[in-house]
Amino acid sequence: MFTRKRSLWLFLLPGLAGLMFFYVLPFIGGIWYSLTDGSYKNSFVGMRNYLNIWNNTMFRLGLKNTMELSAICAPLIWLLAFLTASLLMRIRPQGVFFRSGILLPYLMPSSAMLLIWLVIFDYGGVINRLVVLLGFEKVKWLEGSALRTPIILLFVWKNLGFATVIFLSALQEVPEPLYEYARLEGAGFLKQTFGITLPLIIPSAFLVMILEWINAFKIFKEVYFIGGAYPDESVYTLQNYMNNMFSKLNYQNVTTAAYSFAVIVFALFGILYFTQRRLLKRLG
Amino acid sequence: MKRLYAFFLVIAIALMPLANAFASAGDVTIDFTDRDVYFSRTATDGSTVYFLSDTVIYAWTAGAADVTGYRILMEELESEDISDNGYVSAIGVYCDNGEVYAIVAVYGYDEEYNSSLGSVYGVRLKLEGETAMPEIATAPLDWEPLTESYDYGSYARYVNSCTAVDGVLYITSYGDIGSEAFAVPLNGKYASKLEDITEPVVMGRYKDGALFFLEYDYNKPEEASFVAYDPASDTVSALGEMEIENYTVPNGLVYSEKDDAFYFCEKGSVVRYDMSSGEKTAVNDIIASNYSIDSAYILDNGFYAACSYNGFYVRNTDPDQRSSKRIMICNSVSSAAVQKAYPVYTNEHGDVSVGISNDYIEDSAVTEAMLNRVSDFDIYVVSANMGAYSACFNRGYTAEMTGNEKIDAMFAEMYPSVAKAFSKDGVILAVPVSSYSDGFGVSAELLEKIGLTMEDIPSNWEDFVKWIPEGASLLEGKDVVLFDQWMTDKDLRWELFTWIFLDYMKYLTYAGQEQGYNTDMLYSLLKSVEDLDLSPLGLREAQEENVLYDESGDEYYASVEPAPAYDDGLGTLFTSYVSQTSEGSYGEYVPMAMSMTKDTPFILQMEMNVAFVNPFSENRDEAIAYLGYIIDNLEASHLSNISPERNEPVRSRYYETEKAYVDEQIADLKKLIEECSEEEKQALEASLADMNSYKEYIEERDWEVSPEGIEWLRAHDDTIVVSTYNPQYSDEEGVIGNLLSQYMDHSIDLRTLLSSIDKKVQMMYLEEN
Repeated sequence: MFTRKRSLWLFLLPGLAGLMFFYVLPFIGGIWYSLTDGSYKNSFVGMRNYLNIWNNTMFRLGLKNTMELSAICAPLIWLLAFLTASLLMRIRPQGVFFRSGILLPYLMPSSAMLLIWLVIFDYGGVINRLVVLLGFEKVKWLEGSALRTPIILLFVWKNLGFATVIFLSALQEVPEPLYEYARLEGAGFLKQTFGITLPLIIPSAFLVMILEWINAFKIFKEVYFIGGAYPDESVYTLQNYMNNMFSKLNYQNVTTAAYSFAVIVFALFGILYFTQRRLLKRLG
Repeated sequence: MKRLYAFFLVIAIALMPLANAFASAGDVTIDFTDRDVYFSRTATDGSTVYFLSDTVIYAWTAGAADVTGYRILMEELESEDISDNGYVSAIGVYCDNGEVYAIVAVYGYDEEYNSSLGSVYGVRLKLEGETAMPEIATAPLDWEPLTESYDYGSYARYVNSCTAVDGVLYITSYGDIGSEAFAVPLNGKYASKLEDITEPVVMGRYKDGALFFLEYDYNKPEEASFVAYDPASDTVSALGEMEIENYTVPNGLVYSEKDDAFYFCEKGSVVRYDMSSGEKTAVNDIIASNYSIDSAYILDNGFYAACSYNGFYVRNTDPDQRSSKRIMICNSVSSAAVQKAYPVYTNEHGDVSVGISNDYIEDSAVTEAMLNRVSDFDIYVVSANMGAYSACFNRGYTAEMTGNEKIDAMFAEMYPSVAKAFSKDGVILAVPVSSYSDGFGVSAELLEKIGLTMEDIPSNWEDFVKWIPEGASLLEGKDVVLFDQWMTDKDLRWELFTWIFLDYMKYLTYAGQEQGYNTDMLYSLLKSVEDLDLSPLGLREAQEENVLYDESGDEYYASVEPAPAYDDGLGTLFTSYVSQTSEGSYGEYVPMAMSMTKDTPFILQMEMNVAFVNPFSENRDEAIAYLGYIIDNLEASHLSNISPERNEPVRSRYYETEKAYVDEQIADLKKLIEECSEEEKQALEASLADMNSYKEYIEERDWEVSPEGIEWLRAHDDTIVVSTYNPQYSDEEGVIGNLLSQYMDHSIDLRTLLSSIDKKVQMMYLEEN
C-alpha cells in the first residue's frame, strides 16, 4: 500500500515517541499506583483501592455529577451546533462574519469568560434583572444547585462554535442536488434532515458527540473558580474529587478514580463506536 | 618496589573519601544561648574577632574553640572629662593597625539627673589575663552629627557598624530620617556626613582601600544597590543592583577581595555572590538565616565569620571541602530547640554538616517536594496544623523513627492521646517540639473584688451566656466590666459567637468530626447568643464605619464617632487569651475550663509544632539522630504539657539572675537607709518596699513550669487533644468566612449558616472516609 513505508515511519516517529513516552507509558505506569498503598514505600495492595473508592460517597457523587453534566451538555451542544450549522448553510456566502464570529468564545481565555459570567449571574446582575422582568423571583445563580445552570450555559457558549465548524464542513460535503431532488419530491426540512443530511454526516456527527462528551467530562475549572474545592453537591465533579485527593498527596485515590473513570469512558465510546458502525452498515 | 607503590596507591585511593568525610575543615560553631555572652558591636583585625559589650570584650582567635572574655576596666579610664558625676559607655568597636579600640562616650548628669553627652574618644583596649585596660588613644572626636538631643539632655546615636580607614572612622547609624553614613576623623577634626550614600543598611571593606555600602530604601523594596566609596577621592561609584524579595536584604553581607565576590547567609547556607554574573553559589551550611546575623567578616585565611546574638560561626568558603554528608533542616517555626541542638550535634558528629533555614515554608513547597521525591530538606519543623504535614502524615510520607532511643523514651512517657497523634500502628512518625493552648480565663483578683468565687461562674457556654446579664448586674459601682470596655454590642455578640464556634471545633476534634455542625447543641448555643439581651451591660452601640484611605492609597475603616478614651481604672473580668497549659505562672488571669454544655467535657486542645524526617532523605539516620538532640533541648514547659511524668515545677531561666539582682538592690538600699539623712529616708524606704514586693512577685511568678499550671493541667488532662489540620478551621478558600459574613450581614439565618457549613465539612470528611 505504501511505497515509501520506511520514510513514512520516520516522519511519524517523533510524534509516536512523544505519544508513547508522555501518554502510553505513564498510562500503563499509573496502573501500578492504583494497586499500591500510597505510602512512599508503595506496597502492593491489589484491588483494595478500587473497592474503597467505589464505596466512597464523594467519589460516587462526583462520578454521578460528571455523567449528568456531560449527558446534558454533550447532546445539547450537538443539537445546537447542528441547528446553527444548518442555519449558517442557508445564509452562506453572506454568513462569513457569523461563521468566524461563532468561534470567538472558543478562543477566549476561560478565566476572562468566568469573570464575565460572575458579573452576569451575580444576584444583582443582568440575568436576575431579566428574571424579575419576567415576573419571577431573583435566583442565587452562583450558589447551591442553581450553579449548574450558569456552568452548563458557559460550557455551551464556549464550545458551540467549534462543534458548529465541524458540522459546517460536513454539511458542505453533502451534494446539493440531493436536497433539490428531495424538495421536488415534497420533502420538508425534517425529512431532508433525517433522510439525507444526518445519514451522510454520520462520521462527523459522531465525532462532534465524542469530542463534546470528552470536553464535558473535563468541566472543572469553571466549577472550581466559582465554587472552590468543595462546591455545592450538585456541581461537585469527579475532577473536584481528584483535585482534592491530589492536594492531600493521595495519589492512589487519584489514579484509582482516574482509571475507574477511564473504564467507563472506554465503554461509553465503545458503545458510540459500535452504534456508528451499525448505522453506517445499515445505510451502506 | 612496584608492589609497595601499588600498596600505597591503594591506601591513598581508599583514604580519599575521608578527605571529604569531615565537615568543612576549620569550621567553628560557638553557641551563645543560655550563656552570659552579650555584645552590641563587633570588629576584626583579620585573624581575631572582637565582641564588645558595655563591660566586657570577647575575643576569638583563629583556631580557638571558644571566645575569651576580658572585663573592661572602665573605672581605670582617666580623662579630665570623666567625673564622678557621670558615666562612660562603650558605643562601638573598631580595629586599627592590629589593635582593638572601643568608641567610648562620656556622659554627665545635671542637677536633675538628666544625662548629656560630653566627649567621645577612641580608647585602646589592652587585653591581658582576664581584663582589658582602656587607654584614651585619640583626641575628642567630633560626634556632633551623631548626637541626638531631647528635652532634658542628649545622647550618642546608635552605631550600626564602624570601620577605620587611614585615620578616619566610617560609621553607619540609624536616625530619625533613616540610615546614614558618616566619616569621623580620629584626630578630632570635623566629622561629616557622606551625602552621596543614601539609606545604607550594610557597610564593609571593599577592594583597593575602598568601602562598599548596600543601599536599600524600604519604600522601594524590590531592589538594593551596591556602591563603592573611595575615601581617597571622596567619590562614590555604582557596583550593581540586587533584587530583593519580601524586604529581606542579604544577611551577613561581606566582600572578599581574594575571590572578588560577596558572601552572605541565605536559607541555611553561606552563599557566594558574583556581582558581575549575578550568580549565587552555596559554599557551606550555617545555622543562621536571613535575619539573625549581626555582622560578618572574611578573615585573612578566607573563612567567613558570622556574629549573631545566639552564636558565632566560622565557615570555610571552599565548596570542594564541604562534607559529603549534609542534613538540611527547614525550621519553619523557628524552634529554639532545633537551634540549640545544632552545636552539640555538630560537635559530636564532625562528619556531618548541618544547615538550618528559619524561613517559613508554604504547604505547596512541602507537597511538591514529596511529589518530586526531592531531599532538599531532611527535616521539616512545621506546625501540626499545616495541611501539607497532615497529608504527609496520613499518606505515609514521613520516615519511621521508632528505634531511636531518645525518641522512644519520649513517647513512652507521653499522654496516650498525644503519642497517638504522632504515630500510626505503634510506629513513631513525628516528634512534637513545642505546645501551647490559649483559652477563656477570668481575673481572680477582680472576682474577689466583686465578691464572687470561681464556683459562682458557670463553666459551660450554655449557662454562661444566660448568666451574662446577671453577671453585669453584680458589677454596678465596682469599676469592673465583664468584657473589654471598647466592645460594642455587635462586637461582643461576634466574640461570643466566635468563642463558642471555635470551642465547638475543639469539641468535634475530641468527639468525632462526623457529628458535623448542624446539630441542636450548636444551634441552641448560637441562638442564645443571637437572642441575648445585652442592655444590662450598657455597651456602646455598634458604630457606623467610614472607609477612608491612607497616604499610600490603602483603605481602612474608621468609626464615624471616635471611641471614648480608655479608662485605666476599669478592670476587665473575662479574657480569651489565657494559657491553659503548665507554661508560666498565671498572672492576673486564671484559665476557665469551659465546656459546651453541662453534659459535655472540657476539651484541652493543644497547638503543637512538630518535626518529621523526609522519607526521601539521603541521610535519614543522621536526620533521625538530630531529632534526638532536639528532644534533649525541648522546653521544660512543653515536656510537662505532653508527659504526665513531669510534675516538678521549673524556675524561669532568668530567675537566678533576677533574684541576685533584687537581693543586691535590697542590700544596697538597706545600707543607704542606715547612712542617709532623715529627708531621704522616706523615699528610700518606699523604694525598699517596692523592691521587696518585686522579690515576692519573682518568687511567686517567675516560673517556666508553675506549680499551679501543673495542677490545672493534670486536673484536665483526660481530654487533651492535639490540634491537627482542620480544613474548615484554616478555611483557605474563605468558604466558611464567606458564610459567616453573610450571617453577620443577616443575608442568611443561623440554621442556613450551620447547614451550609455542615455540608462543606461533611464533604471534606466523606472524601477520605
